[in-house]
Amino acid sequence: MSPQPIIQVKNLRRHFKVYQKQPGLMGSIKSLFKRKYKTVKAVDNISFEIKRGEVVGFIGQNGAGKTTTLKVLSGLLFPTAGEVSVLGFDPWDRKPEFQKQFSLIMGQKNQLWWDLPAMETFLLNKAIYEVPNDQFEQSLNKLVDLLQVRDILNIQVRKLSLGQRMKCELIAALLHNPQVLFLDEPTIGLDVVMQKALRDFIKAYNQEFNATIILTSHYMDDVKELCERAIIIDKGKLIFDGKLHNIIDKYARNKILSLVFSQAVTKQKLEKFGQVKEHKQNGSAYTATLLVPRKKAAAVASDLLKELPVEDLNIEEPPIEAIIREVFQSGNV
Amino acid sequence: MKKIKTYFKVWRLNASNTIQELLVNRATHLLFFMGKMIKLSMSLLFLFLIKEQVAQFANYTTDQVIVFFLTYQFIDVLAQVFFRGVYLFRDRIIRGNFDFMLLRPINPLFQALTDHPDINDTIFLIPTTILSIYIASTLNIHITINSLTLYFLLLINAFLIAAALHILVLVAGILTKDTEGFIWMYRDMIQFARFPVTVYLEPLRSILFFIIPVGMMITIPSEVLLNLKPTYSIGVAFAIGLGSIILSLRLWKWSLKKYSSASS
Amino acid sequence: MSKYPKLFKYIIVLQQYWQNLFVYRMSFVVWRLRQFLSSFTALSVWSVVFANQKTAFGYAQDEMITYIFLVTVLYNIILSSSLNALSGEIYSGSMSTKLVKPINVFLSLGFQDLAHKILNFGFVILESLILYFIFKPSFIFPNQSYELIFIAWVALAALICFIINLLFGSIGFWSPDSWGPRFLFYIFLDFTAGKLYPLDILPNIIQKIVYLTPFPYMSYVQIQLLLGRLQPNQILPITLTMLAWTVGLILIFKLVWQKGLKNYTAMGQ
Repeated sequence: MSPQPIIQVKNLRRHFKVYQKQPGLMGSIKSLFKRKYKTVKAVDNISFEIKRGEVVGFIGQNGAGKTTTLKVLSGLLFPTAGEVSVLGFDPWDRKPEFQKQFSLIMGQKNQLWWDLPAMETFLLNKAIYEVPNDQFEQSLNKLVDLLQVRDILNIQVRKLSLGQRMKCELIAALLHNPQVLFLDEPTIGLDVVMQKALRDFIKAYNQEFNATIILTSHYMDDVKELCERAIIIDKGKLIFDGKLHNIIDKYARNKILSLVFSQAVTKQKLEKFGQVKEHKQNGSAYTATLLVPRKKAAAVASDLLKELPVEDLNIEEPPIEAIIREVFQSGNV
Repeated sequence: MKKIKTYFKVWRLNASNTIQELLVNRATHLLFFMGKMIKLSMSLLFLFLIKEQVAQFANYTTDQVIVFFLTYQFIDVLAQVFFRGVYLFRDRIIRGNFDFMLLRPINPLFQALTDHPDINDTIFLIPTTILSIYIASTLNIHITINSLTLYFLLLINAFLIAAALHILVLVAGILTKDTEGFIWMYRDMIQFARFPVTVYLEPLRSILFFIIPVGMMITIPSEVLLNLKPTYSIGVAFAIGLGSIILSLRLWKWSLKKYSSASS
Repeated sequence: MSKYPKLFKYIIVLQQYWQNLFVYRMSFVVWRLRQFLSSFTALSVWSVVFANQKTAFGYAQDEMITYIFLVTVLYNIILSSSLNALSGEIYSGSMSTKLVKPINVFLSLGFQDLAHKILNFGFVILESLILYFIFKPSFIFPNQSYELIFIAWVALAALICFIINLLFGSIGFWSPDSWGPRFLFYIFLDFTAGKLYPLDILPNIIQKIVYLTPFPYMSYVQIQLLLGRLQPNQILPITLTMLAWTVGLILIFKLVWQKGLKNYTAMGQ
């Protein structure tokens, strides 16, 4: 049987009022008496459903509304309009039974007690989430092993590195074995090795508990590696929801042809085959990169082989980052 | 019942964490503690100097005025012991820790008020209460069993009003991202009650009884204890206690809807 | 560019400080209200005391009320300071961006403090007018011409206070919070530069101890001078003591600041 959606969002809106400062001292004095406010539509009519066990990536620029959506799903923010249901609960009610089943992890915020070892926070969360002793031991051991942090549990949090701290934050957030995870920029500020470690961990957690995960990230690598499905949000609106590789089919107009020639070829000659993106000579190697409409790529390639001294030819999909950048820049979807 | 147990356990762990933190920063806390002691001693000294030089303070004897001060001292410190979290709330809002409070299966209001029980003030409360009882016993005042019982009931009522006022500060914190100003406002207002608030001019006097009802928290109980005719009947005091707590809880619920969570 | 008037950039510091305050207008309004309320309490208490008697602690009603008004104003000129966040700024490292700019840190902090004092002075005058209309006091100023000495003493006191605040700020080189010592400082201030009562109502022994600290020079002696409660032969020793405090504190501060800077770079912040 097909799994029921456990997250449902229907026509969600969330607006904020923002204070606009006028420049200069006079502006400041004016604002003393009257402030100008502007309504910002952080989330503007978004709908989607997510099934159990799915890992979904939220993609969008800063301020697109990713974090706001996660906060509404967690019951932190009251929706301006629309319906939201997570695990059959209305998040805004903040029922303890609901709160014990999910976790929101924010890469830039910490709940660990700064001056104390992380272990103290774990024990506090054990009490808060009413985790039984044996389950606590078991989860803690498993998490500590997965993240390899056994030797730092009794060191003051303030003395840990950012990566170590983030791992401890994860443990604190996962001790109650949540089925639903909202990860907001979990890898921000971490070095590449640490990013990889966290990604592996998230993957393992998803497989082990069949957990449902929504992830926002600046790093496309996070999304590419973890999520089959992606939701793209731009200026509060949902502009794409589907398999990550479908983004390529839908938005990538061109394919990339990388060419290596045995003799020099002029730019003019290349231009009749497609848009020349790169054209250079490195010692005895002549290389070029062409952008060619997707459907014509094969035909153009064979023409090139026939007409020019091609030594090597590659047809590639453009990188997903580039496609998404293009999507955001063009703005019309 | 299980819920109460959980809440108590959480409170106890928070307290124990706070003590551990305090030991990390012990120098600062020692200075803080010394400061409080000096402040209390100097205030008492001032009152005893007044007692020597001044026979009558408005409608009260100077001995009675000291009782008002001691009641103020007790209520003020008690509220700090239990509601210290309010003083840190601005930080919680700005750094987003309040988000975590909303995420946990424990009432966020409970967390915001009590997540940092003030150990300094707890330690401070014990000797100062003993000292206060001793000082009261040396004064020339008239206390009966009846008046003492009513006094305790009114102190509980005062604690409720204090809770309500602290909740209002939290509400202001959610709406404006600033609590510092408001909490110090409260501390300043309650400072008026170091002296019986009946000595102040109108409209301040009515404000102190009905708007920020520190008069109901401190002046009325003290008058009752001293077997003086209370400025307003104790029924009014209890009504204000109940009313303020209900109102503050409603405002709290409403303010959560306005919460806009510091963006990352 | 070098024709740019040198002081101009410090004037900008002044302006920026005001602008910043306007953004946090709520905190500022509340801060002023608190100042107002504490003066109001003091005036109420003394009005009650003098309702039944002519003198108390050797002060006549007019003298005491004048004292309270004066201390309120002086507090805002001498003691109010914008440097409370300095230690945090130093600790967090945001100070280092100021250290590398081509401006004198102390001058710019001084101008920032000046901006703060000017603003607060304006407000305290307004508030005093309100208090005047509520309590309708009669002031007394003995007919003596010590105005110049008074002004010099106020300026010296403000300087002493500025250095003490810089010293508190330097704590930031070692530790993030300076509120422990600062708290203690304000507690002492409360009963020595007293806003509720003048120092000389306290027992002699306490007064003697307090005179070993800089606190009495931060409003109390200035007001005593204006009220004509000082003997002319006390003026010189008090002036010399204040100068000694100024020089002493500057020397201490120089030492601490240099040590702190070394420590700062050592931490790599």
